[in-house]
Amino acid sequence: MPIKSYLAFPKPGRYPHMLSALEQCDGLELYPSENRELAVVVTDSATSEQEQSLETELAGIEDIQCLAMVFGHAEPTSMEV
Amino acid sequence: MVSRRLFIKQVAVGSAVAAAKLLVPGVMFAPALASAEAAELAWHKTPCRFCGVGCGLLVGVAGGRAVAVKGDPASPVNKGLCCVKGYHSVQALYGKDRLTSAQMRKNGKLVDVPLTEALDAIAERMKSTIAEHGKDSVAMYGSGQWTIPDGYVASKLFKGCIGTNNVEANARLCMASAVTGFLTTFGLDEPMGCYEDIDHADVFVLWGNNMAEMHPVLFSRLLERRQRNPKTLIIDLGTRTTRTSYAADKAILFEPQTDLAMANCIAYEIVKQGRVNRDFVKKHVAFKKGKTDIGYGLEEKFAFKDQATPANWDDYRAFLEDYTPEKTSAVSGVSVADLRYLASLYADPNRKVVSFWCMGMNQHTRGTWINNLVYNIHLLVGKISQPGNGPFSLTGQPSACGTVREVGTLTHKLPHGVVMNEKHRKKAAEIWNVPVENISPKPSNHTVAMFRALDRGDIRFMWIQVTNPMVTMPKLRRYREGAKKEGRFIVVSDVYPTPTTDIADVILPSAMWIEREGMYGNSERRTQHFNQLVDPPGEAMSDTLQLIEVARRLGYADKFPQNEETHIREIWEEYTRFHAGPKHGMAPYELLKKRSGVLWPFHEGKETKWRYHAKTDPAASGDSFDFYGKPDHRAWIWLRPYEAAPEIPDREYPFWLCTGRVLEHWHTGSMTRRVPVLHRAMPAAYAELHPDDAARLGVRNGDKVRIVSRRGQLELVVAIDQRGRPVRGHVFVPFFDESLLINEVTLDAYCPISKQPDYKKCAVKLERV
Repeated sequence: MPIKSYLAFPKPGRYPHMLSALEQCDGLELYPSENRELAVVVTDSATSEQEQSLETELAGIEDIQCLAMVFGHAEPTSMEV
Repeated sequence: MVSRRLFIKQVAVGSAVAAAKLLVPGVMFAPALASAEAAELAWHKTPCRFCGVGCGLLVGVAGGRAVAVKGDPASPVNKGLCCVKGYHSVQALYGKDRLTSAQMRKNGKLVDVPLTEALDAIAERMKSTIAEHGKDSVAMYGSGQWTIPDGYVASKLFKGCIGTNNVEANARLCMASAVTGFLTTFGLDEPMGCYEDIDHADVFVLWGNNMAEMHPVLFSRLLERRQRNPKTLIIDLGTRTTRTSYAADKAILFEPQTDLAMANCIAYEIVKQGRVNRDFVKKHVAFKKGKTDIGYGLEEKFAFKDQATPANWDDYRAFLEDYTPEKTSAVSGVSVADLRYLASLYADPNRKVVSFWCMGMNQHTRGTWINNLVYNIHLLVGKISQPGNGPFSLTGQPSACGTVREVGTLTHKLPHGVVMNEKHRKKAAEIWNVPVENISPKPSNHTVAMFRALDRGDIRFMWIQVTNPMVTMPKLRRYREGAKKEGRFIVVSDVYPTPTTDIADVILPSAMWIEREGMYGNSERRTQHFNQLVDPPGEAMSDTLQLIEVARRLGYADKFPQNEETHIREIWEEYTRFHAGPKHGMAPYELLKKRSGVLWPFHEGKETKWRYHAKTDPAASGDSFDFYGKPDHRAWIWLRPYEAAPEIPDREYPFWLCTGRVLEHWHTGSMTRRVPVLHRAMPAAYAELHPDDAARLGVRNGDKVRIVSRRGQLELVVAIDQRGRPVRGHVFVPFFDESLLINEVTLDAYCPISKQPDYKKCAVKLERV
């Protein structure tokens, strides 16, 4: 199943809240910057349902101003339509 | 030893860290992530297949298949970022119903045939059609998704060899008004600036441009600019509230078509407040009037030719008196305070301003005029052709600029110049090695006229490549029925079945994107090369080679002698002879292969980031601005009035209909609807209504309404406060869904100068189903 990475930027003044909300999501790894208000988010889902659920959860985090996808990988077998 | 999955995850982390470092200089992460950044796979660079932003991608290939995508950190366009379409782009190669063999209609049914049989049949049909009905009875309809070599060989075959100017491309539907706007104001096409303007600007004014969905990576760059420079302002001007509006610092809604009045009002205020850059205007600007009350192209053989007549500063001031904030507010619905605020932003000498636009201004029955009017504002204050200052027309397709505008795959164009100009025809004839008499001096049919000619029977043969007009033509039913009439012969080259292949007599399976070598040219004059990375399926063949094969069968083998292994290089080297020199020089092939794109003009080893200023443009003379596209070396301020749309809501049809795109889908969805995650995210078209209108109609989310116009009707599911919110009395419908064709309803009115249809405005009524 796909592995994706994103850069997450918070709304002004909401960085701690954004990190806190991301930490509560299952199925992702979070790497906050040490000196700026942004974080790397990596998702690694076992099933398509899990991936879809996680994407919905991320989209619902109101403290995120911008979630920019940077990388994606899908195994060939998962790409057949 | 790490597992393959862990390794890929390290690459994912590393890519994100690399992108973060480019976007936010000095950003630091925990040391453990540094090793992830160092992890590397063998990746291949390519521009994205989809929109006109032209993001650089890196595609990972394994076992002969493209399996992974990441943003290219070396690309100055996206700096490692990628949007949801770009990330999933390689999946569009592998839909189950890819066209892998040619098909021909026999006894009314499409059946598989060998590719050579199909190519033979196309050539024979072209010969017989020309013999019976003349050379203008055959036509080529291409695309802003054509690669540069595709468009070049199409133009050479049809204009140079066959001798018809019946060459058009779907970019007529998306950016023709931008072209005529540039040509009438500056004398040369395409933006003067580049995306680096984003890194210098203080204010972004988005004119009817939902960048958050249509140009998401560029919009991310705007947000990032605002984060680094808190005084940055993003102003959204639109006729509906979108995701862009929500992220903007200020969103201003206006009545459809009244952007014309607003732009003139901003100019009025700049003049009235004494904020004109008089020195700039005196040295670098001329004033012109054109014709007014110019029609809408609705008549069958409508013809219009504009005429520039000289005007002066006093004429311009008097003209602007019709656009006081009070008068403009009354017609546009925008408050006087907001109109003055907009003028103050453009006029402020301490703010750098970039105006962005795309379909909102271009798909407009006065598209050329509104382009002119936004240029007027920038010219009045001298905010142009400098880092962070400039008007910037964005394109929708990956090579609308590279192939359609630069190669010139429009009826009036040549790779350099226009067919009406004898010098330009001679140059083309020399490079193409054809008699100059072959190239007709008269433009024939622009896109709407071409499909009308097909309906009438003036055109009998049409070859359609990389586009889906049976979804995208306005007033669709007429053109679909016209294409299906007896005696018409339609060839369609594509990668998947579409409503356009449904009406084809011959279907050619095309190699898609990285299944062949090619180049695209994006919105900022950046040419980007891509290698063939994987094999095309079955007998699929590139559009370039399809055209060459047919050209040879037509007897033009000597004009298309290219070797299959090296044909892209050979074509590039022939094509770039048209553009040699400081005004439009193109990068050499070897350099394009190495870099993540190169901006033109490329002259004496250097890219030109800002045109028309002697400090940054080798073609500019003097020591400051030089608008060398015009004979007087001045940019022209046009006196263009507000004129209403051709069809406005009335008692019978009380709603405005606006159509457009969505984040997840590329145009008609023929590729992105075959990517499961994108299809799941946006499975079907919908009718977006204001909550008050929905309540009045008695419909809720998920209910159905029937949208009815004078041309057709369509039933759609209602969407309230989901993706966006139209104002009261408006309905928005996206056009990506081939099973819900909103263009059955739209009007085929167009800008009389650019001939670009207006998909944003017509009158409809809504009925609860």
